[in-house]
Amino acid sequence: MLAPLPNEPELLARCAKGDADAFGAFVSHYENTIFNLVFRMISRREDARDVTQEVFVKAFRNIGSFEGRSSFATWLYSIAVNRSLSERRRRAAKSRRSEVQMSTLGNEDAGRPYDPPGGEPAPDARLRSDETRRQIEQAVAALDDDHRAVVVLRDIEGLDYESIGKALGCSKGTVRSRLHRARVELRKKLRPLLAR
Amino acid sequence: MNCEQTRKRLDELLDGELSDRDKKAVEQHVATCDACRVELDVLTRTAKLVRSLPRAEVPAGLARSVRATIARQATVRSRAMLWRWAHVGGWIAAAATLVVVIRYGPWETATNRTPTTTPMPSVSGRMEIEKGASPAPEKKESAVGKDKDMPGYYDDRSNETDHVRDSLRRVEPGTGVGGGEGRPPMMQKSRAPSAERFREEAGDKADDEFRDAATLKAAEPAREAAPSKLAKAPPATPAPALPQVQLTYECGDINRGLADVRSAVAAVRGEVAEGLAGIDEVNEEQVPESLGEAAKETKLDSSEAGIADKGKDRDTKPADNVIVASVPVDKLGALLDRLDLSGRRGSEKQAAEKPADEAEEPTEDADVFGRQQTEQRPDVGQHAQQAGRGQRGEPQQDRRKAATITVRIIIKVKPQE
Repeated sequence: MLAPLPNEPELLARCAKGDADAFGAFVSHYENTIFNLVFRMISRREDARDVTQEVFVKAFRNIGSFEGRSSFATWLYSIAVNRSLSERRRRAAKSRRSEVQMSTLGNEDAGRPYDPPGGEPAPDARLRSDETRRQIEQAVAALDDDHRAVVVLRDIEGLDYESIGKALGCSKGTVRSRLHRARVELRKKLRPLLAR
Repeated sequence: MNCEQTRKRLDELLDGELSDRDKKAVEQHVATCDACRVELDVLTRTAKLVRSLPRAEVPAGLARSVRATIARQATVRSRAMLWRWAHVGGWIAAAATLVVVIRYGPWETATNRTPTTTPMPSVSGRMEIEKGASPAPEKKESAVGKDKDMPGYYDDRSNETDHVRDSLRRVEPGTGVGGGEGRPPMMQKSRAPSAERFREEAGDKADDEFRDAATLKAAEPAREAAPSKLAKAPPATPAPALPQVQLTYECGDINRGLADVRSAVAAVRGEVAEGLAGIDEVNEEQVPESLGEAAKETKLDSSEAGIADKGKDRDTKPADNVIVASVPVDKLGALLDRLDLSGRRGSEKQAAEKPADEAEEPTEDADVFGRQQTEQRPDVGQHAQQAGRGQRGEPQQDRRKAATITVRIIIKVKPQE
């Protein structure tokens, strides 16, 4: 988990007064973390960029509601996770509509799962040739939302159980159980890699 | 710790979430259990695979784009706040303007501030009341920023909430100007009450101010014409707001006094004394207690009427009867003459008692009483001894010729000196 800014309370006070420059410091500090979190959640680079921008804008708009009961990073993670899940739901709904349209048109490929343009899991171009990484990313992307969120927050972003619980709005025990089930699922998907 | 308990806690061991005691217990079991050790190994490798994913490279310009967007948002938000506050401020200003307009708007001026030709009571009467009737007139005067000693001064906000006092002022002569407010009667907020209404209102409450005002026996103009039985037929053109006049007629015998008043009213209206329409008689039982006491306290001489003398002979004078009648405005002077209430003697005496600068001050009663401007207002406190005299001072035919005026005449027995 990324360490907070040293002058975070002062910056938060300025942000609460509408100081965009002060919030710019947060953007610079957390952009990599939030972008990677979003990217691992929605698996599409271009969408991750837009969603990341929306996360920061939303945080700036609602910074008055930040009460300090958790760290600012945890609060920002919660916004990013929720926004990413909303984006996934939107994309899933759009995908279902596209499948229905194709089926209605009698497309001979209608029986195949819809593969949206550019919709393949979007690893970085440098990783495209790396089969191992692709398989891992696909395995993570295949998890359901709750399990993927805890895996990303724990194994990729390195948050502890308590912070994950605050970010997801659940208890520490829930985080533990979700993480256990997610890892069991990943182990099944990554068995070829684990067998090596 | 058995295998099931251990495997439930392998994730916490891997993630460093166990306490030292639990960690030691789990590690002891894993060290002695091959199955649990394999399980921990697979779990560790799985997590390591996920954690081995490289961090994605942040798109170039993302931070700059985010900062620019936030800066625009901040600008819009500040403008929105400014606009919101401007909006709120605009509403506040509009509300304040509305309050000011309602409170000091042109209709207020038109109805209550426009000077009219309303008669002014005598200066002496006004001054007498001002001494004791209104407790804090200065405060009200300061509210309108006018000098109360100026002739045209009035405070349109005085006694707005005192309904009874206001209603009494409408019908009692001299209370408007002489009641301490220092404004012409026509400028007061008033409605012209009927006799019944007067009795209802006057019977509800009676205060000292009313009794003081009753002694002045001066005309109290009202904004609206008082409805009366004679005035039921509306004139061709709406009559202007007319005052109501209260007179006191003293005589030796109450029945004789009633007859005198009836005959005088009938004469000026061109009717016979019997069966007069439009004359309301109020007997002793009907006279409100306050009015009765006020009449009892009335002195014969207007110069003695006032606060200082009130209460004299309170228990020695008989009760009064009251006649309320509508007479043409231009006949009011004739009525006063018939009842010998023209005030010649009283005004002479009054002039002798007033200061020199006030004695010659002409009143503004002329228009209402249909007399010349230079004539003295009727001294209604004078004892009538020559009822039926010739009509001296026949009022001029003025623009109010077609209008009527409500006259309230208190007939009282002259106390035995």
